[in-house]
Amino acid sequence: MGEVTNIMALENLQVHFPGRGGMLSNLFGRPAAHVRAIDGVDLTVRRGEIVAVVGESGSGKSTVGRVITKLVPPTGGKLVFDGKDMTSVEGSALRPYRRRVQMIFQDAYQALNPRHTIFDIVAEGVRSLHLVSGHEAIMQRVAKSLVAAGLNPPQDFFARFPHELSGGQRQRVVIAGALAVEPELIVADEPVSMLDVSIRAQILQVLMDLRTQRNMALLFITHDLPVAWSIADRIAVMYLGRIVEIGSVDDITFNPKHPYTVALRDATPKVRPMINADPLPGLNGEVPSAARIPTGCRFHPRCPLAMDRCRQEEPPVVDVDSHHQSACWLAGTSQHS
Amino acid sequence: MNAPQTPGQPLLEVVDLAVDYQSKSISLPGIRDVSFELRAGEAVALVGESGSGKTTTAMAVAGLLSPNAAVTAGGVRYRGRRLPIDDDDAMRPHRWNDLSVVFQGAMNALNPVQRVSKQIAEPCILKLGMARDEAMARARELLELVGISSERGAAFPHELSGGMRQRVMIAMALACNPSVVIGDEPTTALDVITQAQILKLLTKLRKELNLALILITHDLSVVAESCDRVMIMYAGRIIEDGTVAGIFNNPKHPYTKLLIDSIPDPSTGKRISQPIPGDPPTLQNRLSGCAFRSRCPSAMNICALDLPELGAHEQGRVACHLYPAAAESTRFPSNG
Repeated sequence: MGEVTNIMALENLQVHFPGRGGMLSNLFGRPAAHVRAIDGVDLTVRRGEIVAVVGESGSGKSTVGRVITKLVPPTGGKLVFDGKDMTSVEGSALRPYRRRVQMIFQDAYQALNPRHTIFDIVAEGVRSLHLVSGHEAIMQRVAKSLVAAGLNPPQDFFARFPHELSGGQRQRVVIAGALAVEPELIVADEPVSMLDVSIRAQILQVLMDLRTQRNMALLFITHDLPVAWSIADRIAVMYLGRIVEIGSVDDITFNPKHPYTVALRDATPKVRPMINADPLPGLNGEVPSAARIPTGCRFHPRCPLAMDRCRQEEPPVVDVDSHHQSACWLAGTSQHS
Repeated sequence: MNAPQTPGQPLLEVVDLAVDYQSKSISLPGIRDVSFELRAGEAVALVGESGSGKTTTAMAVAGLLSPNAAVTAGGVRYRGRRLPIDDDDAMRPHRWNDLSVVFQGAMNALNPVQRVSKQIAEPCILKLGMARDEAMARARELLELVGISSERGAAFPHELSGGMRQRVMIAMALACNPSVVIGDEPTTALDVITQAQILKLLTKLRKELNLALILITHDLSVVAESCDRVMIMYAGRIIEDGTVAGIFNNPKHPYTKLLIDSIPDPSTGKRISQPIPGDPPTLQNRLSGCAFRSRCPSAMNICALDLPELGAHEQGRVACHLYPAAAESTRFPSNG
């Protein structure tokens, strides 16, 4: 795939935190291990593409989003945006980047300043980045963003405060704030998981419309495989700081090659039994700490198919086909799907 | 420990239950006309969005309403006898022994400075009058029952993962052999794989111990594999009640249909569908007539005028004017 079409690329990205134990460990002077939150991630997002990063808590999926939005500095590897290496760009040099990449957080209650009006919240980015000048122009930009986020008519919301809105409306305000600066990539970290079920579809629809209407790219971080399948073009499955499988939404959902992806799919509550599902036995235990990543394949202690080789050697990323990769020794041969 | 039950008699009967919330000087309707039965060993899900009354219903049944809430009508019978849900002292002998609750946030519900085995032993001492050694032995037995090796009982809550803590909560709830367990979003804070493990555990325990389970959740998809029956709540009322198969394959109420449609389902190729417009109502802004009418694609004139009654049909109950026959079947003197 051509380098030009990629809006964003992560190359062997690493985020290692120096060990910092809990309060009690610190109190008793126990040494703490190095936390490898992200441990070698390669990921690209093309212009206008929606990529979902799926994983459990502790998988590093949120840290990936925070590196891309420059909230967490990587300790290794590269962050490339529109062909330029952004890994060590900092301070005021980041200003143009902040306009082009925006983040939507999970908790709209906390993301909104309770003392600011909706107008000021949505206008904040436009003002601080000096994108347009003059009250009229700012107002137009704010109104347009509110409409795009599904808050209609926009004037009704200008003077209101976050506490006067419902949860769904607040998340729309967060989206409008991100849209107002007309970004090329939005990183959305679990943007619907705190919302009521009937509201989720509305918000997902807004995000999908942005791609169609503005050719905006979206990195969608979620724990919910069916939602990822529903909204995205590709899915990257993360486990303990690594992408263990990546492919088209249908590859990952209907033809997963990594036992972890299979387990994740099988654990997802189903409204109807999955066609062609040949479930592996359910996984035991839980995701280990990123401070104690197992040797060999990091999934082997929980993997129902683990072999001797998996305990010793980390499996390479192999091509299932040209658009589908899996980091499993069985990926080339495995028949479970 | 309880008297054997007459076959066919429901374990728990909730009859026309109403709860009001007191806010400053006004009182707001929490739930209205909530009626259902629960049989021994049966698992029923109470599904609804925030403000639907699902938690209020369950907390009222457990006699655990917050101080600003009060039961204003109806009541609950347990094994045919009135349960004193509005009297804290009279309710005490029933809690833990007859019905117990598994709460959502295990970290908040557990004592952070006490070893978990001691916390599990505590209800055995207080409610069953066991000696300390006996209670600790019971705690070890309960830990094994929920899939935690008994040595882990020496751990403090913060030393356990979220899934393990939730297992400890379940062990505590089972300590005094209750026949009804209420799970208040017991898997909501958990990861997908852990959630599946906990749901599997609840189903296993329910079958082994013949427990009746009331599962409160906002997530319709978790009930399909773990419950027998589903009750959908909206704006403080049960609007549909049916078997899991009935609700998922043949939903009647437009709200239930839209709710099921809003779950993406790869097995049928169904992605995000037509979203439900608007927001779920808060306690302050519930509509007269049918509360769902402003969001309902099938709303008619009558929906603004008349509250649809929860009437029976072949496979369950539904409260919607699209099914006049269902309402007719239960037309007995009822007002207010």
